[in-house]
Parts: sequence; structure tokens; C-alpha cells
Amino acid sequence: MIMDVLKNIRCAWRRSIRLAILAPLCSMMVISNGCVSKDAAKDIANFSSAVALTTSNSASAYQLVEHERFEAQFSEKLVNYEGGLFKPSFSPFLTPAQIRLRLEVLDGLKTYASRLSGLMKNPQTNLDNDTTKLAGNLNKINQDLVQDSFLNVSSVSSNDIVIFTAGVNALGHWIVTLQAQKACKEAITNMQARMPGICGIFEKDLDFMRNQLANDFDEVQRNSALYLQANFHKLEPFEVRAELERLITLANAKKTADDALAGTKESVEKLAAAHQTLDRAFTKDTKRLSSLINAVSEEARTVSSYYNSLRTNN
Amino acid sequence: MPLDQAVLTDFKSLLQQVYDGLNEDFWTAEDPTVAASIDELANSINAALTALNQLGMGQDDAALQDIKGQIADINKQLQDAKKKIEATVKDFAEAAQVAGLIDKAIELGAKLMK
Repeated sequence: MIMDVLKNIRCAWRRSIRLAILAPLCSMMVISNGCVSKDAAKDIANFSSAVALTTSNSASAYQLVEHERFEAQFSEKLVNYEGGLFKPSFSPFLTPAQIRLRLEVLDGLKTYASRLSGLMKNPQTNLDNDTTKLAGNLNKINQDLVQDSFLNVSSVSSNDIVIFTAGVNALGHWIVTLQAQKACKEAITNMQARMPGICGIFEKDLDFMRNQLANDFDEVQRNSALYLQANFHKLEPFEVRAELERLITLANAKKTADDALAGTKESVEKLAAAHQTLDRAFTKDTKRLSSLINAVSEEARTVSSYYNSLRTNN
Repeated sequence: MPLDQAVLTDFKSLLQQVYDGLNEDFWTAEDPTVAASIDELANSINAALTALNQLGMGQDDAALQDIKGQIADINKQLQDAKKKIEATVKDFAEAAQVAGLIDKAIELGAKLMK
């Protein structure tokens, strides 16, 4: 009697294995019919890195302009200094609240891209870990129970267990991938309606900032030249040399800083274009999207090296 | 009364031309006193240009405030979706445990039969 029950359980176990194999196979068919690119997670991860770099460059651009605004005011006060207590006051280009607002929006964009990427990548890794554990447990049970204790024959082969766990894994992947893609697609569609506007504001900001930076550099150069002229006879030769060197460096620095802001603007433009095609990550044809993401990354990397050099020099 | 954007842009463009002209004159001035006067005037014009740039950037502050909220909403949706997916992954882990329990029951049955 009990032997019959155990045999029935064995049959049910085998049926469940067959079901576990069949269901994922059907799922795979659905996935393949849905024309989903295998590189969606990779493309979105690359997009996320490009966003992180571009937003970091934009944040550095605000710092750069603030720094030069300070230099312009300082150089003017230095030229006008006639001795006595030096108690200057300086006005920032943007108020701390304005800077904070811009940094928060940039940070929000970075979080958005990183969450998209996290959604496409992490859950599957957890699932793989869980199903790997399951495979280990089932194999152990099979050896301990079935092969050694139960009926003295292999009721469930190792191969069946591998197929069963692969089936659970594939089914989990399918469900999780579907959930992740649905959430990502919805978020991307929502953001696509806003991204041109957001990037448009940052591009406009960068136009104003380029103009401000160029004017401030000119002012610093003029004031520095006047300072040198007025103090030439009072300065030591090495100080004169340092001032002259500074004047030459300023001319080069102006051009490099302007190029950096122009590059930052260009990468923001490219970022907007890449985001407008980000939904293509879920289709078979991702060539255009990948090339747009590469373009943003390249531009952002070039500009980033400039901002990094500023950090090193300061 | 709100400022006419086109008039403001034209005015700024005109000021910029004056500034650029003065900047060029500064570097060609031979008399230091003349150079100093040009610099003083140029610095004043740069102050006006700075105010116009600040005004231009400030015009988008309200829009940025709205955008910040909209991005936060989308990010919250993504966070919720992640939690939902993590719950699904957990369900699969639990399903695996259930499968383990069934096998434990069979194991126990087999041991009783020995």
C-alpha cells in the first residue's frame, strides 16, 4: 500500500518535472516571438554609465563657471586695491538654491538611468543564485534519498534534476524579465515625453554659461594685465615671470574651458537623442541606439578628462 | 509687466558687441591710463551681461522645480517595480523550498519503509 503511494508520488514528481520543462519552453517561444534583444540590459547599462558621466560633467560645468566668476571679481578688486583693510564681498553667479536645484535634477536623471539598469540586471542574478541552490539541494536529495534509501533505483536521474532546475530558472527569468521590461518601457515612455524639455533647459544653461565664462576670462586677463603693469616695479623678477606666465596660461585656459562647456552641451544633446530611441533596446534592431549611446559616452569621456584635470590642478 | 524676450536678446547682443569691442581696444591701448579706463567700462558692461545671463537662467527655475518632481515620480515607479520583481524572485525561492519539503517528505517515507 505505502509502496503504491510512494510510486504515485514518484510519478507525480516526474509529471511535475515534465511540466517544469514544458512551461519554460513555451515561455521561450513567447520571448522569441516578442523579438526582444538579448542586449537590452547591456544597452541600458551603457546608457546609465553615459548618463552618470554626462550629469557629472554638467555639475562640474556649474562649478567651473562659479570659479571663474569669483576670479573675475577678485581680479577687479585686486586692481582697485589701494592699501588698507581688504574686505571684499563676492556675488555668486547662481544662488546656492539655483545650483542645488540643478544638481538635484541631474541627480534625479542619474538615479533614473541607474534604476533602469538595475531593473534589467539584478533580479536575474538573484534568481540564478536561488535556482543554483535549488539544483544543489535537489541533487543532494536525489543521492541521499532516491539512490541510497528509496527502492534502491534511481527514480529521478541527475539529468532530470538539472532539467527541472533549468526549467525553474528559465520560468523565473521569463517572468522577471517580462516584469522588468514592462516597468522599464513604461518609465522610458514617461521620460521620453520630458527628456527633450529637460535637456533643452540644460543646453540653454550651458549657452548662458559659455557666454559668462568667456566674458569672465576676458575680465580676468585684462585685470591681471593691469595689475602687472601697475606693480611691475614693485615685484621681484620671479613674481613678474609668474604673472606673465599666468597671462599666457589664461588665454589657453579660456579656450579649453570653452571647449569643455561646448562638449558638455553636445553630450547633453546626444543624451537626449539616445534616450528618445532607448525603447529600441527591447527590439531586435539596436544598432542605432548602440551607436547613439557610444556617441554620448565618447563625448562625455573627452569632456570628463578636462574636468578631472581641473580637479587635479586645483 | 513681463520683459519682451526678443528685445532682451537684442539688447544683450548689442551689449556683448560693445564688450567685445572694448576688450579688443584694451589690448591695443598704448596709454596705461586709457587701458585702465577701458577696463573699468568693460567690467561694468560685464556686470550688466552677468545680470542678463542670471536673468536668463533664472527663467527656467520654476520649470526645473516641476521637472524635479516629475523625475522623482518616475524614479519611485521604478523603485516600486524593483520591489515587485524582488518579491517574484522571493516567490521562486520559496517555491524551491516547497519542492525541497516535498522531497524531504518522500525521504522520510522511504526511511520508514526501510
